[in-house]
Amino acid sequence: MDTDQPQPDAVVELRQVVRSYPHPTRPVHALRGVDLSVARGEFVAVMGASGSGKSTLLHLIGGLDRPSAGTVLVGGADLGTLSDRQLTLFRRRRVGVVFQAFNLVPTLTAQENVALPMVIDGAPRAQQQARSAELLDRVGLADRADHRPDGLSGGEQQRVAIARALLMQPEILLADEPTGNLDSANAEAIWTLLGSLGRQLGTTVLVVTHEPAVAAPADRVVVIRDGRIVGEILTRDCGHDPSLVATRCAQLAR
Amino acid sequence: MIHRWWQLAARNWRARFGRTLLHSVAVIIACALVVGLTGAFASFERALWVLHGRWTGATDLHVSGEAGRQFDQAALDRVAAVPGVRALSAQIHDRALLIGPGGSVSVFLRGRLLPEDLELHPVELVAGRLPRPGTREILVESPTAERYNLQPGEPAVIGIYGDRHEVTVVGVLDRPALLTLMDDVVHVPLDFAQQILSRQGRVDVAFVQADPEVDPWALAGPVEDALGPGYRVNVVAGGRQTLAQQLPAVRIVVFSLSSLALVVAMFLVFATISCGLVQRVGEMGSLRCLGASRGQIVRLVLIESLPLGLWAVALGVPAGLLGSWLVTRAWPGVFLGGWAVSPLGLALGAGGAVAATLIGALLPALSAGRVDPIAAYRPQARADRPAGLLWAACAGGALLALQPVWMWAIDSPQWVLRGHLLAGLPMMVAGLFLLAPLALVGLGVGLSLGAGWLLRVPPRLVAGQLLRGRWRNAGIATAIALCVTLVVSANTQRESLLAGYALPTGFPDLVVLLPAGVAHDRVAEAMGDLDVERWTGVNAFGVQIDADLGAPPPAMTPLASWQTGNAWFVSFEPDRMDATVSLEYLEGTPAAARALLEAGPALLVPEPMARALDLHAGDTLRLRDWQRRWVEFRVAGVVRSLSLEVAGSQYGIGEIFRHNRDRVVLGTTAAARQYFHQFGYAMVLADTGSPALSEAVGNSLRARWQGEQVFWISLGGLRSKIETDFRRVARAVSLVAGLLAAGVAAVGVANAMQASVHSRRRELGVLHAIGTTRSQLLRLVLAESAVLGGVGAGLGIALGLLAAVLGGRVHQLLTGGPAPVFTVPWLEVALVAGGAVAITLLASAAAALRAGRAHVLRLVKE
Repeated sequence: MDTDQPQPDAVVELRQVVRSYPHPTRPVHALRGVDLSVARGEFVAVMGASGSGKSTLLHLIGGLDRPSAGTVLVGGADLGTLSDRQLTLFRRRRVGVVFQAFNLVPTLTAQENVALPMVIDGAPRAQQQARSAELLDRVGLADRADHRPDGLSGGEQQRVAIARALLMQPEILLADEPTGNLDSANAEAIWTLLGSLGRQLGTTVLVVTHEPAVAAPADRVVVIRDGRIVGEILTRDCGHDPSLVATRCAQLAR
Repeated sequence: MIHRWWQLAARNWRARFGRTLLHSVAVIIACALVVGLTGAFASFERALWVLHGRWTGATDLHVSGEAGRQFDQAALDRVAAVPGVRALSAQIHDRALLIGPGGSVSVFLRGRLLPEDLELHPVELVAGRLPRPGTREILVESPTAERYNLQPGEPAVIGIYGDRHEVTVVGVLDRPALLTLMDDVVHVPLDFAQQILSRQGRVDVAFVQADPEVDPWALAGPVEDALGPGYRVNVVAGGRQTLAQQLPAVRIVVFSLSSLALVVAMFLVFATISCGLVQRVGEMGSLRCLGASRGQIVRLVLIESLPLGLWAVALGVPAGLLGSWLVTRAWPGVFLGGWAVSPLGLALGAGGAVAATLIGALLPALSAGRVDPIAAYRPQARADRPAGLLWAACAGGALLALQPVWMWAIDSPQWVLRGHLLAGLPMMVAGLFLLAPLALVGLGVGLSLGAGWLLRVPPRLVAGQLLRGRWRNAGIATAIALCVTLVVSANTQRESLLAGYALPTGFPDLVVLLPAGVAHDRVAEAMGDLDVERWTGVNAFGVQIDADLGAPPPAMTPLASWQTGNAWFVSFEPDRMDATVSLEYLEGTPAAARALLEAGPALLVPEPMARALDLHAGDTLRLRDWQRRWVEFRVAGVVRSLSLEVAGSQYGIGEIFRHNRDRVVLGTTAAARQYFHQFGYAMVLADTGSPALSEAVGNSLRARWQGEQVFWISLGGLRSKIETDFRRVARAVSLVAGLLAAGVAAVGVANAMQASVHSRRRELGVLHAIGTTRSQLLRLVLAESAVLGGVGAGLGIALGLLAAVLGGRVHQLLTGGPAPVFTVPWLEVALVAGGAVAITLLASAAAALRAGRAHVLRLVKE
């Protein structure tokens, strides 16, 4: 991959990104010079073994963390140069995050949880209500709008989380093991939802997972090992077949 | 649906309503204490003003003789003639014995000019009527009437100077309970009092009421001019001003002490909110991921904490008002002015509760604001960094050290008090909190070994639990420490003040009174037999001095012959006096004075008398001898004797010196023999060296001189009496302080421990899941609490002892009294430490039981 020239339609651009954590005995290198480019509207899955650095990669792209070295460009913004306040606004308006543990606010209803980013942003009330209702409808939870998280199933909670992540019409949607806490039926539904919503809204989707079955619907699978990208799989070459994706992935990660 | 950021906080309030209310209990109690204590003090202040008003009545000026000197009708007439004087009354005072059907009592006799004095000092009659001038009718006060069965119409007897005077009780006056500790007072017509006291035409004090348009301050000068030198004119408004000036200092102390409850509550709020946030790190991280700014998170936590303070205002203020109201209702005799509300106390209670909550929540809020967005992936907070603890401890030590520096660098008592209360104590509290985490590491690890061994849980587990949330636990330990500090400091100050109260050196520890007199040889023989080396014989008798000393002042003395002169001649032996009574020479030197005294005729003059007669060393004073000839005595020195004054403050014999210092001369036994024909000793002062020995000598003398009147006073008893009285009051203060501290600590620590255990339920669940029994979980929490209580007690003892040293300094500077000798009541300190650990254990018992009972799956899933 050519790292010198930015890709013309790339929404995410990582150049020689290093992320190390200090340690009294020896520093931990989570990422060791990663280059990655993700095009607008692309659906990318990141796979790798536990501790390979895939979540760190996601944190850097989402503006949750800063690189030790290298450049992280998201939508043209160099995240490494942004102030804390600018980074906060970046997360608020340009990125949507879906967590494995859903991370809904337990005291708020489903609709309030969805509307939360707009509440934080101080958006007008009508806009909050309309947009959150629309998204709840899209994820199929219009009838559960007044339910609190403890009254929803795991799959429903994750759908609320996806709706929340999409509320501000982000350029990029990040999901970290979004189906890790779900059964297979719910997991499949969430993958389908993520893929379809991403395509409908033109949002770039970047998903971290270690399950080939859920990576198969993506456009591309990036395989990471020991903090380095060791290869990519174009899922259409595998016919979006999870077992083939798994085999290719295993070969690359070996 | 929420639409604004702060509404999320409101939603969290509602969702955590019960827990918020529970967590606010410490703040509620603190608020109630502040409002209650300041309200009670406001009521007490009002009572003082009411009492002051009763004492001063409608008078504007209070005229008395310098150093107790009396004055006569002519002086009164001169005052009455001053333009601007509207009304004048007078009183004469003395001590007397009141004998009624129910027994006899030593009373303060108040002769009042009727009806003028009653017009200026209205009285509240509860039975009977007022006495008429020129009669033997008296008024007694309600407790006296009740105790000695002296109802209106009852005959009674007033005994004075050995004479008995038949009187009739005609009325009973109200006497407030606030005056319980003061003497019973009997009110009689002035002319009758003057007659039985043989002081016709004389008064002790006159009261002046100014014309309404005349300024009392402007009237004081003309009244002084009319009277001439030797009189003191006090403007009553000045007394009010003095009282008004003195009360704020006491008010500051009351406010500061009650505010301590708010400070304790603040640390408990800190610990409770910190514990709550530990569970919500993931939630805060998620909000940061969603784009919430640090400021928004800080505000969210602060707004969420606000209800703790609002609950305190809503419940604590009414509770405090109710408490102070109940107190004033329960003791109406003390709270004479009824119930009063302190607006400042209300503001401090309400504002302080909100401020304590917000300040307590500020650090956790700032900490929450610093949560990384990545924390959305972490359910628990990270451990504190040890380096930060070290810096904090250094800052804490510096803050603690500033206070003693301030205290010893400043000499002004007022500034020391203000600095101590307003800056020093807050700095000490902050210093304690900053030191607490490091103490938790140092002390906590050590104590974990003991607690783990006692409760049979792995000490590493106990220490690990404590050290994971050092600042949270430091908050709880600081709250416990402050409560311990309060009690340890109060007890140590009491003991230190008692230890510092030493009788002056050269102080006779035995005073033997011999009203009939005993010859020198008999005394010398007895003292020789009893091996008492340091003694001196003293005689006291009345003499006539060629100076206008006015009529005799009140004198309570068992010694006779007062009425033969206008002053006392106290005779002593110059060579023996120094061994038993230390005389401080203000003028002259001991050697020169002794030479003059031995050469004779010469005298020593006490400082008040020297002032009254403008006498100096080298002057002469004429005294009439036994042949009624005037003899010139040289003034050999002007002296002061603290030892005699201290004795005088407690016993009748000393009253001679205390009340009559302006009419006492000190001469030699030889002069007494030669010029006044006084041969015996009326008093023997001895320094035996120990209270037990002084009592033995006193008893031996009484046995040896059977058939004669012999009274003795052991001044060892004086010390024990002072100790007993002081200890009783100080113990009451300590008890109240202890109960308040225990109350706030028990409730607050219980909540904080509950929150602390609640925040670790998942962790405890994991321990349970991997095989830790319920009993072990319970013991683990108890061991942790015991260690926390131990650390708090340790810190509290250290700070309490420091506070006691500083408090002693403040006390000494303010009162000018003896320097306290730092003395630690170790047994009580140990009991307080044990109590702190026990309270902490009890407070955490509920949390421990809940942790032990919870189902393992429920715990793990949380």
